[in-house]
Amino acid sequence: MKKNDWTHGATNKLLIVAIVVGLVAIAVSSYAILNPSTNTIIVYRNSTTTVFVVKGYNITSGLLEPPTSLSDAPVITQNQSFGNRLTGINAPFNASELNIINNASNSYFEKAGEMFLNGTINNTVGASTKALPLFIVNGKPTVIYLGSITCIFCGENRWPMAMALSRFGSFSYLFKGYSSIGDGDMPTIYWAPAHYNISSTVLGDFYSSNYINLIAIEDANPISGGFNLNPLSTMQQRINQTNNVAYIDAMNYIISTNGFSGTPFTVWGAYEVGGADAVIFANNTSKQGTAPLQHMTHADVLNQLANPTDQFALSEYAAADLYIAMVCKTLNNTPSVCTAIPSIVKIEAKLGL
Amino acid sequence: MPIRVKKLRRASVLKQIFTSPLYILITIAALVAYYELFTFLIVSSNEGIFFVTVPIYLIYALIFSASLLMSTSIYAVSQSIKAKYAGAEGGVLSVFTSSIGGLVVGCSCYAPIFSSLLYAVGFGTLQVSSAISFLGVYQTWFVAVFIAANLIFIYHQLGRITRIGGAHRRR
Repeated sequence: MKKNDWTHGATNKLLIVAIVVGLVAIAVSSYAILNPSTNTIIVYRNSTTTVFVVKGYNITSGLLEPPTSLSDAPVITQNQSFGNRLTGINAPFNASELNIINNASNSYFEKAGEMFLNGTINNTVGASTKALPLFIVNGKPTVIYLGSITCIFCGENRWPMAMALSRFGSFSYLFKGYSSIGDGDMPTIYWAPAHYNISSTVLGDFYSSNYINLIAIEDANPISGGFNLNPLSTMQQRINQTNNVAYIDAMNYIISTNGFSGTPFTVWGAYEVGGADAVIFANNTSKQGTAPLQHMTHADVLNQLANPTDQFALSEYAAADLYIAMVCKTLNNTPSVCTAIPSIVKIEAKLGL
Repeated sequence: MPIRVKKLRRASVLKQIFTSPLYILITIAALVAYYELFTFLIVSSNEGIFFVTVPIYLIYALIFSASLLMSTSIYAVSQSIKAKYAGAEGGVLSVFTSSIGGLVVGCSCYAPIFSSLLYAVGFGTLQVSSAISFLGVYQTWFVAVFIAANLIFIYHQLGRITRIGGAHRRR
């Protein structure tokens, strides 16, 4: 009887400890969920001064220009079936395809912007932003992109990113890409040809602008698999080997934000956006998402963007409007596009920029 | 003459539980609850979209095994105060495997809930990115381990119930 009492007593104590640990875990988890990680941490240098751990940058540096083709990752010309489709991967956009991105009419952005403001965009479009000190290179603020070719949300969101950037400059090259076969196999844009067969980090782009820079960091792993992201430390090592100041500092800047929660991770001038600012995989009639984008070709997407009358295309333009608003706000609405698209200023207010 | 008691086997206890209308109902209720929890966690992590990157049959197996574990746990608690602890542990484990499973089966490219938990306990950006990378590569294995944990604990609980049931019958 005494032995049973002892066993019973010890079990009681273990149970109490387990319950306490569980309650603490629930409390910590709840706090973490309700208070997402902040990108700036204020620390006190002395009793009267505060400093931000995330520091701004103001540097002079060349930007990386990647090759326009890769011998170890050639364009796949074979027409393949959806779901296992890499047809055209790494192929550069032709002139008319580039024109759809570079020279889209401001009226499309305006129409979509108004729909976003009055709540008639059916796909999920919206962004939670956090303020950051500027990353200035050669006198211009910077858009920083960190993503993965294997990632479905990066794949979907590069379309509106490219369209947003086109309002402030232009692309001399863009390339056809896909998210990984195990992660949606979405048709997308690559900023530069990707090593889709090996683990690598693709750096650079073909974007030029009088207003902003684009620093594109694209993690790559075999695209026939699923989502596979190299740790940031691995990407940082590869970037350090380039000896390019802008990219090295950009990586340090990203790491210092303590805001990385996965890909895509972007900075639009003075604003960090964790994740994609939209989830647009179809012509949704409700907010519930599905992914018919998996069954579109690049031509299908571009045709819709060239003449945006459906929810899919208008949602893409609306998502681009959010990024445009962030850049405009960063630049104090000085570029002409910020007033040429009247809804941009209203979107700035709606996002609380 | 000592009373001979027929030894209660795990299979018999399992049959006792899952031929009872009450415990069938409990299993179905747990199934629905865990499925809703799964859906909520996946949709929350994937920006409003139900998108999974592990085979769907594994997800169903995880939800089903967690439901079975919950029913077995409730049965254990109802049988005897000495089995109550086994029941409590099993119930907690089934909630744990379902919750964590729901966090890992979506596209782990963007993991706001998971990363917020890590940042909250003091991880930095590099550690969080490594954890996200690890999760992305091994998410299917995570689910398989959770299913195995549920099944092992069901087996363990049934053993405890049979031992305690045997002790009661010998009194």
